[in-house]
Order: sequence, then C-alpha cells, then structure tokens
Amino acid sequence: MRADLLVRFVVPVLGQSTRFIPFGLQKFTLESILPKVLAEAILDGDLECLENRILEVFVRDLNTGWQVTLVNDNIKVMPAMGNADVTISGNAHEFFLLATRQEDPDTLFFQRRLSIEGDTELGLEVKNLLDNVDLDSLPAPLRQALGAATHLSHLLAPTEPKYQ
Amino acid sequence: MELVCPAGSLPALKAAVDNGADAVYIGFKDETNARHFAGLNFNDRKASAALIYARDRGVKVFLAINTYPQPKGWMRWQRAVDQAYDLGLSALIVADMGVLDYASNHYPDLPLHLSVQGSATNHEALNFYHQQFGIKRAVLPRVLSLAQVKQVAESSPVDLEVFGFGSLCIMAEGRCHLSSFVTDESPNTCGACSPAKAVRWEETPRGRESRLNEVLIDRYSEGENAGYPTLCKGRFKVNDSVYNALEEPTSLNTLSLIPELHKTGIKAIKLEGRQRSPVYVEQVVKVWREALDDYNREPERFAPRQEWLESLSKVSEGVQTTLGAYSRPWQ
Repeated sequence: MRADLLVRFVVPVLGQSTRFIPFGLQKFTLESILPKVLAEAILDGDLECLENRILEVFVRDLNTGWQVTLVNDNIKVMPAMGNADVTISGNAHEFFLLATRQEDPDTLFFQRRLSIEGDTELGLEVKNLLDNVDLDSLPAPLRQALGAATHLSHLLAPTEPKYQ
Repeated sequence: MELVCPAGSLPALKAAVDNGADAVYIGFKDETNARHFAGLNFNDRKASAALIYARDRGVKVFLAINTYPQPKGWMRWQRAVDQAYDLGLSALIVADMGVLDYASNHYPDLPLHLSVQGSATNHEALNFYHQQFGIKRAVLPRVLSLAQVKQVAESSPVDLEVFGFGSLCIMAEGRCHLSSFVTDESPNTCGACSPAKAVRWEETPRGRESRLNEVLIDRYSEGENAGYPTLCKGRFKVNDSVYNALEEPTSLNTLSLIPELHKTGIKAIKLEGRQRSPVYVEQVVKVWREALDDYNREPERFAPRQEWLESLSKVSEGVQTTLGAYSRPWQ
C-alpha cells in the first residue's frame, strides 16, 4: 500500500511542482547538470548521435516534457514540441524509477509502462549512454541527491506493486 | 556451478560483480560480438577498468568475439583477439572456426570457449572443436532437452555451460537468419538480431504496433505485455488464425532445474542480457546467486523460492518465463 502512496502522492506532487518552476530555470538546471552527468560520454564522442537531432522525454501524467539536443558539443534543453527525432514517454513514476536506477527500461517497456516512438536506434543509443554513466564517478552533490531520492522511495515503497 | 553474468557497460559489470557473479562476459564496441547495439559495450579503456574491478574482487572476465567475420572485416576480428590477449582476459567466447584457429595458433595459452552461436549440439561436434582448437568449454544452444543435455554431457571432452535465464531464441540458435530475412542483418553476420535502425514502434488507437523494416510483426492491444521486436516472436496469420506461430514473447528460466543440471555435470550457468541495464543485471544476478548458494548448502532440500520466480518474471520478455526446450517430455 505504501507503494501506492509514492505513486499517488509524492511523485505527482514533486512532478506537478515543475509546472510552477519557470521553464528558463528548468532549462538552466538541466543544462548545468547534464554535462556533468554525461562528461565521460561527451569526452569519448559518444554523444555525437544527438548532434542536431532531438530526443524528447514526455511525462504523460503531467502532460509535460523536455527536448534535448547537442549543438556544437553543447547540450541544449527545450520544451516538448512534438517534433523530435525520437520520443520516450511514460508517467512520472516510471522516469523516477529509471533516473534512480531502480528499474530496467526494457522491463518497463515489456510491461507497457514506457514507450519509444520515432528513431529507435537514437533512443537506444541514448539509453545505453545513460546506462554507461558510472554513478560512483559523479560529483558528490549529484550522487547524494540520487542516493537521497532512492532512499526516500525505499522508505515509502519497500515492495514493488505487482504487475501481471 | 559457476555463475556467468552479462554486462554491456561498466556499471552493469560492477552490478554483476557486486551481486555475486563468478564470471562476467562482455563485448567490444563493434560487430565482433552478437550484442552490437549503439552505445553498448566496452572500448579499450572501459574494458581495462572492468578487468581491474573484477580481478580485484576475484571475478573472471570473458570476452565474446562470437560473430562470423565477413570477408572485408577479417582484420577487425583478428585485432579483437589480439586486444583481448593484451588485456589479459580470462577466456574468449568464440563461434567462428577462422577466429578459433587464429586465437589457438597465436595465443595457445588463452582459454577458448565455444560460443552458443557455434551451435554444437552433440559430442562429435564438441570433439572436433576440442581437437582442432583446444576449446576448454562449450556453451550449449537452447535447443536441447534435459535428456539430450545429459547425453551430451556424458561423453563431452570439455566443460559445459548452459543458459539459465534470459530472452529466448527459437529452435535454430546460432543458425538463425530470420532477422536477415527482413532486415538483411542477423547476429551471426552483423552482431544484431533486429537491428534498432530497422525497428519502429508506434502507439496507435489499436495498440502498440511493432515494425521491422516496415513490416508489421505485432500489435499489442491495451494492457498486453510486449516483447522484443524479433520476427520469431511476432504474430502471424496461419490458417486464418493470427497467433505467435513460432514463439511467444517469453524468457527462459531454469531455476527449478539447478539440481538436475548440477547432477548432469554442467560446470557453468549463463545469464542472458548484455543489452539490458545495470539494474536488470543486479536483480537477476542476485536471485541466481541466492539460488545457487541455497542449492550448494542443502542440495536435497532445494526448491525455488516464490520471490525469486516473481523477480525473474517481472524482468522477462512478455513478463512470463518458460523452461523452453529443456522440458520436452515427448522426446
């Protein structure tokens, strides 16, 4: 039951709060954090797949999303506009589980909790780049934030809801 | 029995090592291995880091060079063997006889395992690979029933490894070209079954449509669990009825067979899934480590725990598992 609590209240509340954060601030935050998270991938040239190509992450239950692209080796974030090369969509809870490495994207895809439409290869490449990020090598504040989020979700949801 | 676990990235390798793998198998970032997907696998630097991490914790690292070199790419396969030797990997998992020949001639002290893609299903085939290339181990294709595995094991000249869990290929493993039929590429030739560039998914009012090179291979209705976009798991119209004529989306799970596999003399259990994320590796390796430890402690009382089965079903294709070819009582 406490898992329901997480799904029904905490994530939506956190998610809904993004509506009150001006897009400029979201953009600034994401454009500051992503280069740190993906530093090694950028160095290895692995992010070139996003050069002038657009990945959209769409959060269905919040009806909001972001687009990410690479322009001259710089990560750019834009609001969701539906014109992306590939779009990954799901509810806020699913993205939370992915971001905190608590669930496997293929698992969520098999269970129909995540969709990927458009250029599948680009989507797969970005998924694999994110899987390649070594959490141990992230800057301490980011690592701690992820750790705290995971810890919070464990407190609230010690058991996963059952899916058919 | 040794637990051999998959890793497509350094974090996945760490997850495997930390959760009880005895060995981890990886691939280079190119078509020399059968999980050649964009953004996956190890460059030289990552492979070195992986090796150090695993070695420090007493875990072996195997490298899969298990595709069939195409004429224009032979040098690339040669170089992969050279790199593997320089890195000091514990063993190579190889399918092609040319690569086996090159490796056994140039690096006779580098242990060779025959890949599942080599598709050796009887002891004469195993004898051949043993005599010609000195292989130490063979991974059996998932086409044999348990009775057949026993038969092969009785006279095998080398150690045997079998698949314990993961996405299931249909009955022509190592010889399957269904993917080539539709996309012109298959695991043996290009390192990928249903290459991502040929895959398109679309969420329509009728459900999720899965297309391979523009051919509709399945439509999952609302709430229906999905699988990978492989031709073998698509739905086809046969005699006016549309169904999974070849195979349903499902994963192999042989937890319940651990005692019999052990008694048969199987030396290692392989888990599938180098294309999956670190969290999958963590979830699956943890279950199998516990199960093997349980079995080793009290072999007579071993029975798979419900929580293990649930945990494995959850991450499976189609969210369901099968004993696959192992269970063929009619044979």
